[in-house]
Amino acid sequence: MALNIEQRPDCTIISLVGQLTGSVTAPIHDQILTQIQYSHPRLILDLSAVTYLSSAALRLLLSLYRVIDELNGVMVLVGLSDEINDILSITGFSDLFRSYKDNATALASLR
Amino acid sequence: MIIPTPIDLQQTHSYQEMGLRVGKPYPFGATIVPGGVNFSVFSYHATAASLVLFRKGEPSPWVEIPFLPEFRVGNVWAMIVFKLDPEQIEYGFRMDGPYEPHRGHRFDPSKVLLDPYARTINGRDVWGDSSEEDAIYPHRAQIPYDDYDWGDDHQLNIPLEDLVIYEMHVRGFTRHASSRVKHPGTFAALREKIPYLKELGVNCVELMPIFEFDEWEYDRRNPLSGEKLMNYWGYSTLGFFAPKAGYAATGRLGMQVDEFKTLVRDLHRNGIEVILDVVFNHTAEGDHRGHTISFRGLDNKTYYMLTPDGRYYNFSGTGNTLNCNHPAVRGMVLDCLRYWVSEYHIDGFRFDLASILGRDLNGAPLANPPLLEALAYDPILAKTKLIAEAWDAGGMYQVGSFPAYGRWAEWNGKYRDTMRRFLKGDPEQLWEAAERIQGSPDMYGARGTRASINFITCHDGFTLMDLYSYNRKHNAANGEESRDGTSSNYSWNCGVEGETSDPVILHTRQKMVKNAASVLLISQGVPMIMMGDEVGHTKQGNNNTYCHDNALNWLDWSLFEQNADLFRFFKQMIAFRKAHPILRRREHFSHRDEVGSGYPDISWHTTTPWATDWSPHNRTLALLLCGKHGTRTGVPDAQSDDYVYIAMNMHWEDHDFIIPTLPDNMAWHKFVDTQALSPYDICLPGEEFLLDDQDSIHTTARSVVILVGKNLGRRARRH
Repeated sequence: MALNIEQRPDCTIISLVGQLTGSVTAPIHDQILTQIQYSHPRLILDLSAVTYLSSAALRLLLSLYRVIDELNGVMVLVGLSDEINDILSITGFSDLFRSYKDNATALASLR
Repeated sequence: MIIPTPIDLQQTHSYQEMGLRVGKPYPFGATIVPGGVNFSVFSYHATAASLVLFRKGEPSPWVEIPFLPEFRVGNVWAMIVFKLDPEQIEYGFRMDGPYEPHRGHRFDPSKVLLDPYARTINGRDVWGDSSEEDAIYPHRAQIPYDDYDWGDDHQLNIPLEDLVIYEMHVRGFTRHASSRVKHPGTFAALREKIPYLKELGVNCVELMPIFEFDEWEYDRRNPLSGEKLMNYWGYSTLGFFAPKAGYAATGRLGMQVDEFKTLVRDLHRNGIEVILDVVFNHTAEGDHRGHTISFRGLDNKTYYMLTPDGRYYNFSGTGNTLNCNHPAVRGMVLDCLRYWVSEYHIDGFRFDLASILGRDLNGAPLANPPLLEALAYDPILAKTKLIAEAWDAGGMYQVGSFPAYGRWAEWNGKYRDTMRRFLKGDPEQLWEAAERIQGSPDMYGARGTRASINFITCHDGFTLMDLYSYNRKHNAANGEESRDGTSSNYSWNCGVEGETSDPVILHTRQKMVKNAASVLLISQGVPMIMMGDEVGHTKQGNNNTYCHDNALNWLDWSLFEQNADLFRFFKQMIAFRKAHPILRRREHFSHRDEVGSGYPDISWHTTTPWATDWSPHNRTLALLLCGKHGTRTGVPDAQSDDYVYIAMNMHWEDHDFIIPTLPDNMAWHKFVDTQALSPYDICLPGEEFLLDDQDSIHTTARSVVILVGKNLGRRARRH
């Protein structure tokens, strides 16, 4: 599991790469939170290179969403594969997130 | 106020590289705690216990940790194991103790045992995947997250009298290719089909067992096709706390908990309650020849009803009987139901062979069964519907007398049997049919109409279309030489056994189905429809399809077009029931005029109004419901209603019914005539046709006519 961070003036783009499972959720959660310790955070979470999303990973997304919401910020998802999109929908998590096909449309939505 | 959290959460013991601490005996099972997992298991008779941990999916254990003496409180072993990733481990228990079958003990320390409180169970997470019978631990407990965000969802609490129950099988509903869903046969697919249920108008689904079971538990083949037979229905529980993973599109990912919760949430959003069919009368372990999976190895003598010499009582007809009124087992059942209500927002339960729940530890019927009482008075279950299948395979038949505590309703088996005989024109049925239509006051006098769940068909037995296509069962495919399944079907094939192209017979069958739907949906009590009956599903005359994962049990969605008129009929009948509070009484009829309308709340008639003829060979019956008594149904704030008249001609000849006179300014309008071809068989409720002849109606052989008496001032069309 790898994590790439791009700090832009108007938002933070974090791309996750590889398998997102329970064993990596805690460190990733902490790493991401250190990037958004400012008011009104705007986070784009790019999952286009995520090959597997476990049950704990769904909770990671939910937890990040709640923290960011608490900070009056916005978190959106980008690059969901059909399978991950399907899993989010079936398990009820998709109701909680806005998702976009790529960073450009996500950025446009944040403006 | 800040609630202090424990400060010392460090390990106090260790075993190999594992950090341990004395556990909490309650709750039983595996619970995620800060830094680790608490494991707790009870056994009255075990002498030693250990926790067996597996890395997910691996055949051999990763580590086995004995419960130290200080980890035992009473008969409970509990410990916390630190630094476990719930996603990466599966767990079981190993128990030591005597192997003395004649004294009821069957401990077998060679077995790894499934936790009775397991909330997810792996091993059958994709339906029908090949069986791993040789695995040392085939059904493996895992720990799910229970942090689902329900939003504002809660139990719907629809009054029982307003329910229209749809009994269904999760897989069968969408497995057929014609369903055109993304993940056939799953909770997700059922969710995709919610619009269908809404269109039909049902407001409650009763799901046949969804607790984890092993579809491969049989070792028999279909003698006709050679296919291996399955436990398709699932009345054979492996774990009472775990949703069936193979019913979840995400079961292979271990997300069945979230998937099922999302289904419940979305059914609720659409005004549909969820009742689970629960099987607490026996387990999947069978009799002395069965596998040791869980209960048998944990504490056989506690979990099962045994004879004095240690053999299994078989009140369930499946080999063993769960010892439901043992205080510890009773506790498990209560924990289980509380869990499904609080964690999954389940609205009600239908208890399979519930009479077993009223037997004592030796199988004798109890006058005041503690389990049934506990469920009835439980604070968490206080608004949960409790429905008993009030009989068992040991000869207890309690329909009408199930210990109710003001809470329990019953599957009214007498409704099914009487109405089947009445509908096919058997003699000597009128008096009893009248009782059933009124909510069976002869059986439930003090309990009100809501004690009666009315049904003509259910998963056990013929489909409604088969009820009028077959005189006898055709169960050869079940591999039991047709010994299985009831022979008392009270069915009639309308002239030819099975398939036919004869248009007269086909019309008669359609009409008989509509007759049954009409009478069911105007009866007092709670109607239950079986999945597929609304579109004429057939099981080819098989009345016990428990073992078939094929088109016998799969709903064919092309029937929706083929039998569109049947669907429409069911839909409008359900809408009619919803539109008329006098069809949904809470209290029984008084048979008196309580509102000064000049009419009693209900009156019975024959072809001549205000005359009754209960003689054995009469097969014509009519009833009049006085709309003004809509305020006296026992439901708070109930409103005055239209008058409703129902003429039932179950004779094989035509009859004219002279209809009762309505109050001034009111007139009779026709809602249903099952003899008429669609779309003239039924109309939209509220758009009934004004009758030209207000004095009499003609009914053809074997047909039902429903009239609505309402003010002439309203919009009316002549027909």
